[in-house]
Amino acid sequence: MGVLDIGASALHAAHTRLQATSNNIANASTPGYSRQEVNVAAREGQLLVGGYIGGGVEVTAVERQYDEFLARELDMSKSALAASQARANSLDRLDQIFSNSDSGIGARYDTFNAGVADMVNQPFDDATRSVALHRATELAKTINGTHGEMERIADDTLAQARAVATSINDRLQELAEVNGQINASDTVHSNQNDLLDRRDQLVSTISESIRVNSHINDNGTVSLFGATGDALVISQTASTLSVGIDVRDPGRLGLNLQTGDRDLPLNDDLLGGGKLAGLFEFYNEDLRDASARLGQMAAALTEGYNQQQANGLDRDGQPGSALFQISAPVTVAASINTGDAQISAQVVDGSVLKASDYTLEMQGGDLILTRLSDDQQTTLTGLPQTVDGLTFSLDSGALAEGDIIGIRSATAIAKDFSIAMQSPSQWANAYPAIPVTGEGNRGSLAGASFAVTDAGANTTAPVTLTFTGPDSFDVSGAGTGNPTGLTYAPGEAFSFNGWTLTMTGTPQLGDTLTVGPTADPSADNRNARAILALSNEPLADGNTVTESVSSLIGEVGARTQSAKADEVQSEIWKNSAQGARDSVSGVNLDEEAARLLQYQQAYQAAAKVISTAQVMFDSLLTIGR
Amino acid sequence: MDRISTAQQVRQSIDLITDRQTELGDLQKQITTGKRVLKPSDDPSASAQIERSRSDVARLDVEARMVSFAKLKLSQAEGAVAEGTEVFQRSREILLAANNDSSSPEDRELYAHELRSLRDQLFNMANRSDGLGGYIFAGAGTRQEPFVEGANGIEYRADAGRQLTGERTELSTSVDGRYLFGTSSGAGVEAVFDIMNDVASALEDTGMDSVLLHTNVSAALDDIDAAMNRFSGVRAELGEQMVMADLAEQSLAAGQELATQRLSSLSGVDMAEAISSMQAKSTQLDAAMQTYAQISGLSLFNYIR
Repeated sequence: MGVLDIGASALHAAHTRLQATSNNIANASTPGYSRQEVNVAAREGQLLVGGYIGGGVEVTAVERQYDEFLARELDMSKSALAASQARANSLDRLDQIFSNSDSGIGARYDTFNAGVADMVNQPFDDATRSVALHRATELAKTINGTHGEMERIADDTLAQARAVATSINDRLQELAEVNGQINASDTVHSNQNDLLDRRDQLVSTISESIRVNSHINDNGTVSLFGATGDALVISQTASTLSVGIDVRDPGRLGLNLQTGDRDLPLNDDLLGGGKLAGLFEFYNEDLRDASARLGQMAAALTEGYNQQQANGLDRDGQPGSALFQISAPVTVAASINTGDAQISAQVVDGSVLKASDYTLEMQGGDLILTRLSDDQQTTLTGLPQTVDGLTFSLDSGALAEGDIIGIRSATAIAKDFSIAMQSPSQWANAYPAIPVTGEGNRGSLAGASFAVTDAGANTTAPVTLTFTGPDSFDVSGAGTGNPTGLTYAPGEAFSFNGWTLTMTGTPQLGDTLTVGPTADPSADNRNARAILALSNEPLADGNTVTESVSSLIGEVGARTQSAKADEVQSEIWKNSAQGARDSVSGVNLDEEAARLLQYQQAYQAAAKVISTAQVMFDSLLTIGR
Repeated sequence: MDRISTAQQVRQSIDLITDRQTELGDLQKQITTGKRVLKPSDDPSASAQIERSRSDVARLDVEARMVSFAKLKLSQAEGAVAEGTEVFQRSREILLAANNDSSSPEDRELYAHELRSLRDQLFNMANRSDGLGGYIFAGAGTRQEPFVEGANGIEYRADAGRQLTGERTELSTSVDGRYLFGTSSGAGVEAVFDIMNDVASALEDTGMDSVLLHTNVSAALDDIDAAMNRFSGVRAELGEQMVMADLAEQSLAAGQELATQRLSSLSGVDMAEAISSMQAKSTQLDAAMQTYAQISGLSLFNYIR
């Protein structure tokens, strides 16, 4: 009978809606849940006398409130946010290393110079030598410790990237399984909505780790591609990502994609977003640049101070020995190489070393050296060759076409940066030679400045300048060629045997000046003054050590700041995308409360219809009594 | 038209509150440390400049240390040179008295005795330590006493010249002993010690005729006058160096003040601004919390009985 039927259909519809509303309320905070609405339609009517009469209500579908475009936008924003967050968090660690200006590399360098100044003041006092060596050791330890800290951050980043790859792989596998379940399920299966939610939630979670493009197929399954265009999930097949050191460049992280038996290296520059992209950018760009700058500084100190030491004599009259030492660059032959070449690299001039690593590649018969910081390429004509203060040599074997050698120079040499000097007595505070005016001179001739400019200077044999008048002199001594009749002008520099001398005053006929061995190297401070003056010299590729430290700090700060700004921007994007998605798919509890009331009333009304039908039926029955 | 989901509403409120809390935390750190720039990323270009300014301050300190060391050495040297001048003046008086015809051989012996003791005083002074392990008249540098009495008389063991310190201002930390006192080698200035010894011997020589004695004493007087001239010349140079050191100290102090000011303006916190900003932020946090509590208290469910 009509009324009872209509009442029953209304009761069913109201009950279904109450269920859907309850489910919405239950899942109000469930991530990825899409609000569900019950679609109903009036049942087709019946032609009765006088017209059509409705046949009640019918539940046609339980529909997910979902907008594919908004969901994708949210996923992309999540990729961007995760990438900038991962990079900013890693850079934050690097930023922390340089946070204390008062105990950093620059401060240690200044303290070291104060120690050298004390040697200048009191060259005869061995305590000043000990203090200066102690301070140099502290400086070396700070630089070496900073390198170690950067290496730890690099290791952590690699481990983190590997963990992210593992979690991506798990999700890809799950997604392939969900694809299988969707494929197997009936389109009107009651779980369909939840399966689709799970599918979309998986894509969203994967997006946080790596940016993806998804394509929803007609049967509801999803095909997933990386930003590079490579397939990650097709139907029920998932690929596997792996992270490791790049096969061509040992200073980089590399990414590999395995699908079945096929192995494919991915270009990490094209990752586009996701935590993995942030970690890669940090490792391959930010950290590498900082590490290279630090290595450049270590090489500059080693070159500058060891050179100056070599120009002098130590307390015991021995030629000055090295103050600092660095590790050798690391060369790695790519695993794909077919040749058997063993290549080595050596720092031969630390003052021109660039803050960069290199690769050496055989291309079309040419040996091409690429400086990785700016991709500048140099074609080498055979080995050994010296470029940027590095000498590249072929130790054995030969390079085959396409072979690549990765060279970690600036990023590796601070690894063992340390003090080479064994004892404070080895400070070469003295110059090996000194200009002394003749005791019987009658003029006002005086040595104005004197510097030993060559480590191999011949300073043991005295060289005597004998003046033949106020403006001319003869030279005698081994290695000079005994020139005569040279012109004297005050302030003009003369160089013999690896030293340079300027004189002032007016000499008289017969006056002399002799450059001979220093009487007491243990009390001379002239080379110590030259060592102190190195703090103002452009030791590091045109920059002073202080400038080099301050630009490293500025660079790390600028990178961290820009990563944080990116993070804020992506957060704004993500929040707005989340809001847009939630305005369609999210649950509003007040709305559900109103619906709850609405459907409760509908349910009560439907029940009333049924009870009315009952009354009507009872009335019919009483007619027969 | 736009629906807002309940979860989103809660998320936004939490974000607002945690953002304010982070800002407050940063401000609190700035206020308690007194530094505006705690990490390079707080202000990258200021951080780079702070590094340079901090280094500037340190370098100026090093220079000041060298200048003050030089001042110490210069004043020691000046004192010693002044003392030498006094020795010569007394020697001069003695020689003038001895040169007087009324002086008896006994007088002259006493004079000779005093001259020898003045000569020893001068010799000790020439080898005077600076109290720091070095010598005042060390020339270009020696860790031994610069003057020795060797087989050939007085020798100077250091290299002739002077030792310097300071980067911006070159200042002497030693005096050229060879020039000032001379040596016995005969090539240059005769050693003042020999002059005093020789004239003392002449005074003691009772057999020497008075003409020869006069000649000897007059020559010694000339030599001592020459030495006094050298001493006063060096004393003037030392004085000049002291003036230079004072000027250097003044300019360094001014430089240090500037560099320190610059450093504090780069890295220091403007307390008034930071504190008022902190008050504003805590008001905002308070407001965020109150509105959250009020909004989250609003629910239709409260009205369903």
